[in-house]
This record gives sequence, structure tokens and C-alpha cells, in this order.
Amino acid sequence: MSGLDNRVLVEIHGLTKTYGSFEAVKQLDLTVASAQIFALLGPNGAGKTTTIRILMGILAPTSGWARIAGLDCFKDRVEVKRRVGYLPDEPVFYDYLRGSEIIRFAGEMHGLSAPEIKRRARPLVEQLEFADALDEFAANYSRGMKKKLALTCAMLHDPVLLILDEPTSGLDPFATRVLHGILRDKAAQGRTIFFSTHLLDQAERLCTQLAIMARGSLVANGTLAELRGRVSHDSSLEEIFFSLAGNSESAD
Amino acid sequence: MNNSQPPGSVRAIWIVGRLALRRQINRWLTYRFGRRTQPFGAKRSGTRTKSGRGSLFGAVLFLLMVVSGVVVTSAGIVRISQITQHIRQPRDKFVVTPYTYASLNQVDKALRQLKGLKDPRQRKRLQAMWERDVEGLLAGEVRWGAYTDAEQSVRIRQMEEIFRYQGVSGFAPAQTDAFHVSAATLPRAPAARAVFIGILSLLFVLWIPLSVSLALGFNNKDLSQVEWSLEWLYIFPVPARALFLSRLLVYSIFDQMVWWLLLPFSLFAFIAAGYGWAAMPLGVAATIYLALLAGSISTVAEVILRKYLSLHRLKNAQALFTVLGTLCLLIFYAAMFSTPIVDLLARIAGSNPVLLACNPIALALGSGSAGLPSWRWLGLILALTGGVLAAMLLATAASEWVTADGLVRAGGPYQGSRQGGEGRIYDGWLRGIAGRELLLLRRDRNLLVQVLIVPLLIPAYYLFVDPHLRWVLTGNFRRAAMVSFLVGAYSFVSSAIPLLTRENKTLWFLYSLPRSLISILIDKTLFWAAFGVLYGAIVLTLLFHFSPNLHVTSWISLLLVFYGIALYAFIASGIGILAADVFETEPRTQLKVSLLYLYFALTGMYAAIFYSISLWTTMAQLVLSTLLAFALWQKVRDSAPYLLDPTQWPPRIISLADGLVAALAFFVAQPLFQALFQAATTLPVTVQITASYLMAGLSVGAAVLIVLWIQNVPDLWRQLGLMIADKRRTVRAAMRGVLWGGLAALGALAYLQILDRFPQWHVWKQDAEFTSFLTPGAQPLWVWLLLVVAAPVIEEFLFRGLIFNGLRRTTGPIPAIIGSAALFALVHPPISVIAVFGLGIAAAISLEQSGLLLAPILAHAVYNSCMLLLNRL
Repeated sequence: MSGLDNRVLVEIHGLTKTYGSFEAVKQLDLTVASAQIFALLGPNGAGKTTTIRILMGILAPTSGWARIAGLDCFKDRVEVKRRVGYLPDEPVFYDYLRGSEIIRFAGEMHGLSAPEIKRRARPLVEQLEFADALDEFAANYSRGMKKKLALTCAMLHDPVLLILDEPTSGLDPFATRVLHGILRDKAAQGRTIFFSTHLLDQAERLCTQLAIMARGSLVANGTLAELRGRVSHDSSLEEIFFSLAGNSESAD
Repeated sequence: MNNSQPPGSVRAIWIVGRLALRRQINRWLTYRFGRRTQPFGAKRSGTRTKSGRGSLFGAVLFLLMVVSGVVVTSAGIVRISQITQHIRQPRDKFVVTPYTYASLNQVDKALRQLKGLKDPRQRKRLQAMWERDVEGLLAGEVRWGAYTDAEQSVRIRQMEEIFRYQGVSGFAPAQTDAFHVSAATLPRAPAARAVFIGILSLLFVLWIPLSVSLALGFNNKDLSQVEWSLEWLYIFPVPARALFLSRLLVYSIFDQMVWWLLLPFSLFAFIAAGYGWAAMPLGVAATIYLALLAGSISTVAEVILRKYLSLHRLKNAQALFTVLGTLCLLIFYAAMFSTPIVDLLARIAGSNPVLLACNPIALALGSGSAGLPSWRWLGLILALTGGVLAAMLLATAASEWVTADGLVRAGGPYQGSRQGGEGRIYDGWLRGIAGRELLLLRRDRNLLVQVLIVPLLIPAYYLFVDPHLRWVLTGNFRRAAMVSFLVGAYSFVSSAIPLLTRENKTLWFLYSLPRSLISILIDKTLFWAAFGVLYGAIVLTLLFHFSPNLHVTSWISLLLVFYGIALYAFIASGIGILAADVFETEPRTQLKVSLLYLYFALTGMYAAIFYSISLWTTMAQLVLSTLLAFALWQKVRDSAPYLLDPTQWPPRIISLADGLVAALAFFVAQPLFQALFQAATTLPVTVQITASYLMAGLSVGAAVLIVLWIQNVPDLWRQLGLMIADKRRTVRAAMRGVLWGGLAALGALAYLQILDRFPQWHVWKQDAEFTSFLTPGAQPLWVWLLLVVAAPVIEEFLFRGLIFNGLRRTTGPIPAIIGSAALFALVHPPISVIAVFGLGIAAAISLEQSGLLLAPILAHAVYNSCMLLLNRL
């Protein structure tokens, strides 16, 4: 069924993940078309990170499946990762390696040559303004600095899909603005961004499509305008979020 | 505003101490007992169901380790006593191990009985057989002794002579009585007694640097981490003094090492000093005294190091402590068994009477059973308590003083200096995984020391301490080969075993790369394997360099060194990966110590290869080690995609490991059942063997099937070859089996014919005839039942159903056929190895072709029938 519609990049169908008797994600159905900036919203513990980790093939789904570009996220995980860049919520780096060495390692593992890595990394490093920290051991970076480094690694191979878990947490306002600019540029170039956040204004300003999760289930999905239609036409995303996610929270 | 009062100092110490204890108990409780199940009503917070893989096995190994530690300590103190009294073994006789002595005794008796035999031919044959037995025994005895090749052959010849003329009376068993420490351990002569007590007291003192190094070096990852745990404690409204004091307690009496390393030694020392039951409280008191002293030093040292060193200097300092700690540990244990070290310690003790006089423990030990006047006891107790209290106060005061202007100098993670780099991307000559590992090795001094220096310490230590041993080591190629292998294999303890745990939280990074994790793990293992092989080669070259008279006596041994090192890199990383708990945050518990123990046992098994007398045991060891490595990596391959998933297990498929475990269980169960029959019944031996074989086979087979069934192996019956889709092919499978069985029997006959042609191989044949328990003519029905029904069904289920199928899952048909046949051949008597190997190949081919276990069972039955009919199994 995938491949019929070339514009569909991420497909999630009936996805369920349980930890023991706890259902982190329940029967999730979701599609994301390419060249979108897609935001996954939800309160803490809604299952956002679990969903993202399943997309990255780090977790195996209990049932259902997730596909990226028609490839199964768990079974074809190596192929999937050629097309995907990933930024975890809290990136941890190897001890005793400098930022520059980690970038080189990531590039090599994607099969890039040394000059190519340099050529691609330089603009990213300059845009994110952390060139002065490249010669330092990455384990000693502050949280925001680690995110910048992980982001550089994630975008090095120019992936068609960027999966970002809380991309701006820990970033300063300057870096946040820069990151937003980069993401918009990427989308304009036809790349897709899939990010999770609980910053509502960030989602409101940035995304073209969004979904709200609560307690492992999808409670809303669509463009901002469509969601507005479900609540009231001039409501802010905050109001939408509370009315949709809040209902589900209190219902259980 | 919170109105409640913060806890006082005493309460704070209690809370922190309790927390440490709680952590310890939690760690022990992670040993799970029983079948892996879904957790009972798991909540989100504790989704760690795959962790705690320690299981009962780990607990048992840990117990074993503690027990053997206690036994070594006890034997060591006895040995020190013997050395100080200059007790030597008898000189007019050959001293051999008790086992050899008992065996020689048996042979001696058998040979005397032989003289009564009438038939001269049979007598001669049996005599030759027993003599070969003696030859083997003596060769085995001498091989483990400290002799060069030339000395060995001379000694064997001498021993054989003596045995021929004097029988067993020319030998004496090595002294192993007086194994346990008792009051009799204390030397009678006053001079020897003083030396003995002096040495024990010095060993007590040695505990302090040992304990400090253990606390600061080795695996204390906390110390050099960005978030130091004391920093966290510092945020609570508790006086700093209390925190330092609690830290001190955590490093002393809350440290488990104290209780299973120091306490046994302390108890035995006081027992040896003649205190009897009073040794219990005294031993505990001495332990607490020393632990608190060492804990005080550790605490101050930790605070100072953390305050004044940058994080990376700190790691280098830790590397230094690792070396120091290893040295202390070596001296501590080697002192008990090496005469030169005991002599050295005796000299130190003799020349420093003040050192002993000021050491309360030495005073207590020295007074012995004679007893001190009570006022001196009181003085001693006061001195002990006063000394400890002073040390603790001093330690906390010093820590407070050092941290008066803050616990650390730089805030948070920015402890390194930030340079204004121009942001260039590093260029190096090694790329990818290997490049990264090499870079880490170069930067991480702790890793460097543990990988490069520590493995060398033990052999180097012996080389320089015992001059005779040095001569032996460099005069005997086998020993040199073994040492090189062990050094190479030991380097994996810090490199390949923690292959995965070193990644720890950075594992997400590897998962985000477009390569499968298994290929990355293999790359890493290959890197360390190459490193280990290179390292082993360097050690061997050095040994050759320093010994002009060392010759390569066997190129096979040389090959075995390098093959062994490379193989053990895979075994080490396989064990490490399967046992790794990537969700565990504390580095020390990510890998179980018991696994190191297992790994050492395995390397010890392989090291014995250099001393094995027969080609057969060499082959057995090689095949077993190789299959073990394969089985481990098969499991690794299955579980690699699921490593970061806290609950999901890989789908259960039949693997080589199942086969190996089942085969092992069978070969353990069979003699057990037989012993049972022997004890409880008066059945003829043949019946006993057949019945025990059947019982063991059926119970192991049933157990395997039940376990696999419970674990929901999909399509179990077809995977095992107990069923095929197309029923009509059954007849063809049976025909194939008969055909291949016949071919194997023909091959075996040809082999026996060839053996007959060469008289020098008759030795083998006689061996085989003698070791065969099946005396022809006895209970033919039972023999047939065993060989034509029980053996084919049970062995084919194990070797073809589990092992061949397990191998076949991840390899092509040829390696699977050869691997399963090799293992199959190994469990048979040496004479028939080649013939049985042929049968194994034939049976495996028949299974590969038909997919039905019936085929190899028939092949096996046909083969055994042919052999039985010709009466030449």
C-alpha cells in the first residue's frame, strides 16, 4: 500500500507498544507527507518518545508497524537510517572524543569522505555557532551544546527525514531561532521534519501539520486550521491542546 | 517555606549510610530466580524487565568466588607458616600430586596382580598397557611442574626407572593435609613465630594501600564523572562534616570488599595466632579498624583529587591507582605462596620492629594464646579506638578544610579549559570504528593501563620475583606460548568484555547510523582481537629475545596461541554483550563479576591446550571453544536489534547454545543415572549402561522439548526435523538414511583395514578394545537396544536435531555439517574418532537432504548394526 502515494513518507499503522502491562502507545495510526514540518504534541508520558524510538528502530513494536519511505522501521532499520537523521531528547556522547571527532565519525559511518564531511559540517557548525567548542571533549559539553552537536551529526548526510525529539530544549533563544530557520529551509528543499515538543507556540509558528497524543493514543491530527475547526475558529493552539489532550487526561 | 528541621549530623550519616546499604541490597536482589516472565503489573517507572540477567547462575558463581577466596586465604596462611618453619617436602622421594600418587598406587597393585596371569601374551599386552598409563601419568605430572623441556624428559625417565624398580614406594604425595588454619598453624619455635606474626602484621598494613587503591582506582567511575555523587549530596541541608563522615563509612564498613576480602584474612590470622573462638570478635574488630583507617584516607584523597585535578587528569590518576591496587592485591596473595616474597616480608618485619610495635594489630597478634595482662588489653583497646577516631576526625576536618572555598573549583561540566579552536575537523589515519576505538585507547589512560599494563603485571611479577621461574619460562616453549596466550586473553577483560557497556548511554548514536549493530560489534571485536593478537605476539617476541635457548618446538602451539587469542576476543565480547545491562546506570553493576570468573575459567581451559598430551584433547578443546564462540555470537546476533528495548525479547529460535547445553546436560546426567543404578541395583553393567543412557536421554530430551515449547518456539516440530510438510517424503528420507548409514559403515571398515596395516597404530586399537565397556557376548539384547535404538535416537536428537539445526540456521550447510560432526566425534573414544566423524557427516548430509530427523537416526542405526555384526565398534 505504501509506494502508491509517493508523497506519504511516514506511515504508522495500528502501532502499539507495551512495557509489561503498561501501554505506552495504543493503536496509533498516523501518516506524514513529505516536505512537511510535522509536530507531535502531548503532555509528559503521552508516548511521544516511544513513538520516535520505534521510528528509529530502537524499540520493536509490540504490534502494528511503522514505515518510512515504504521501509519497515524495525526490519529494514539499516536502510531506514540512510534516509533519516535523528536527534534524541538527551544526546550522550563518548567520553574522550572531541566534538570534531564525533562529527567525523558520524560522517564516516554514513559513508562520507573526509573532505565531504568538512564541507558539509562547516556551514552547520557556523550557523549553530559552536565552532569554538569543537576541540573540546564532547562529554563535557553543556546540554544545549550537546544538542547542537547531535543536530550537526543528524543533518550531515542530508536526510530526507529529520526526526527530532524535543529539538529546542536546552537551546538558547539565539540557537532556537537559528534552528527554526534551518528547519524551514529544509522543508522548502523538500525534506520532511518530524519533531516532538511540548512548546505550543513553537509548534504553532513552525509546523504545517500536527498531531496531539495523550496517554498513548492519538487525540487529534491535521493542519492547524483543521484542528481549529474542531474547537473554535480563533482559538490558539494552547486552547486546542487543553481541550483535546485535557479531555483525554481526565477521561481515564 | 518548609518548617521541618533538617536532619542532624548523626541522622544524616545514618541516612546516607542506609542509602548505600539499600543500593547494595537492591543490587543483590537483581539476581532473579526462576523463569523469565513478564513483570507483575509493571508500571511505567520500572520498565526494566530484561535487566537483572544475573539469575541463579550468577549468584552461584559469586558464592563460589567467595568460597574459593576464603579457601585460598586459609591455605595461604598455612603456607606462610610452613615457609617460616622451613618445612620442606621429603627429598629422597619424588613428590607428586596426591592424584598421581593414588593412580600410581593403583597401577602398582594391578601390575602385581598381573604376575599371577597364566597366558604370557595377554600378560605382556596388559603390562604394556599399564606402562603406557604410567608414562601418561608421569608426563602429565611433569608438564605442570616448573621444568624446561630438557629437564622434563630427564625427570620422566628418572621417575619411570624408580617406578620400575621401587614401585610406588619411590614416590610421596605432596603435603596437603594441614589445609585449614588452626592453632597448630602457629610455629612452635619462638624465632619462627615472631617472623610469622611479623609477616601477617605486614599483610594487614598492606590492606590500607590496597583498599585505598580499590576505592579510588579501578571502577570508581563516579569520581571522574561530570556529576559527582558527592556534589549531589552537597545540595542537602546537612553539615559537610556529616557528608564526609558518611562517605568515609561508605568506603569502609559499607564496602562489600571489606567483608569478603579482609574479614576472612583477619579471622584466619587471629585463629592462627592461637585465639580460638576469641578470634571472631578480634578478627571483626581488626577488620573494622583497618577498614575505617583506609576509608579515612580514601575520603580525603578523593576530595583532594576531585578538587585540584581536572576531570581528565583525574582519570589518569585513577589509572595509577589501578596499577597500584593490582600490585597490592598481587603481593597480598602472592605473599602466601611465594617463598621469595615471604623472605622479603620477613626481612622487612625484622628490620622495622618499630613498625610492628606501633601497630595495634601486630601487638594483639603477637600476644597470642599466652594472653596479655588485662591492663595491657585495655590499653590496646583504647589505642585502637583512639587511633580510629583520630583518623576519622582528621579525615573529615581535612576534607572540610580543603573544601572550605567550595567542593569543586570549576562549576558544572566546564572543568576543562575551553580553547578558542578554529573548528577544524580532525584527520587521522584509521577510520570508522577501529579509528574511534584506537583514539579512545590513546586518550583514556585508565583503559590503556587496564588493557596494556595490567595483563603484563602477573607474568612480569613472577618473572622478576622468582628467578628460577624466569629460567623455566624462557627455557620451555610450551610455557612461553601459554603465557603469551594468557596475556592476550587477559587484555580482553578490559577491552572486549566491556565492549557494549563502554558504549552505555551513547548506544543511541550507533542505532542512528545506517549500519546494523551486529556489524559494528563485530568490527569492534575484530579490532580488539587484532590488538590482542599483536600484543600476544609482542610478548612472545620479548620472551624469545630474552632467552637465547628458547626454540619453537611446535608450530602447532604457535598457531594455537594466535588462533586462541582471536577466538577468545569473540568469546569475551560475546559474554560481555550478552551479560551487559545497558539500562543500568552504575558502571560497576553493568557487568557481573561472576562473568569475569566464567571467562577466566574458559581461558584456563584453553590454556591447558598447550600442555595436553594427546592430539585428541587438543582437538576437543579447539572444537568446543570454537563452537562456544559461535553459539555466543548467534545469541548476540539475535538480541542485537532489541538491546535498547526494555521489554521485548528476540523471537525464540533453536540455536546452537540450546544444543550445547542439552548435550552437556546429557553427558552429566548419564553417569549420574548410572551411579544411581550401580548403588541401588545389582543389574549387569550392560543393562545399567543401557538403562541410564535411556533415562538420561529421555529426561534431557523431554526437558528440552518442554522448555522450547514453553518458550513458544514457532514451528518447533519442523525446526527440529520431527515433522515435514510433505508426508510422502518420509519413505524417501528413510531410504536416504539407510543409504548414508551404509556408506559411513563402509568408510569405517576401510579405516579399520588401514589401521591393521600399520603396526605402530596397534597401540590405538588395543586402547580402544580395552576402553570399550561392551564385552562381546554379554546381554546381547541390551547391547542391541543401546546401540541400535537408544543411541541413534538420543544422539541424533542432540547432535543433528539441536546442534546441526542450530548451526544451520546461521551458516551454510558445509560448516554446519562439519561442526556438528566434529563435536559428535569428540564425545566418542579416540580410536573411533575418524570413523565416527564420517558417520556424523553422513548423518548430517541425510538430514540436510531430507529435512527429517528420521534419516540420520536410521543412518546411525544402520552404521551401529554393521559395526556390531562385525564385532568391531
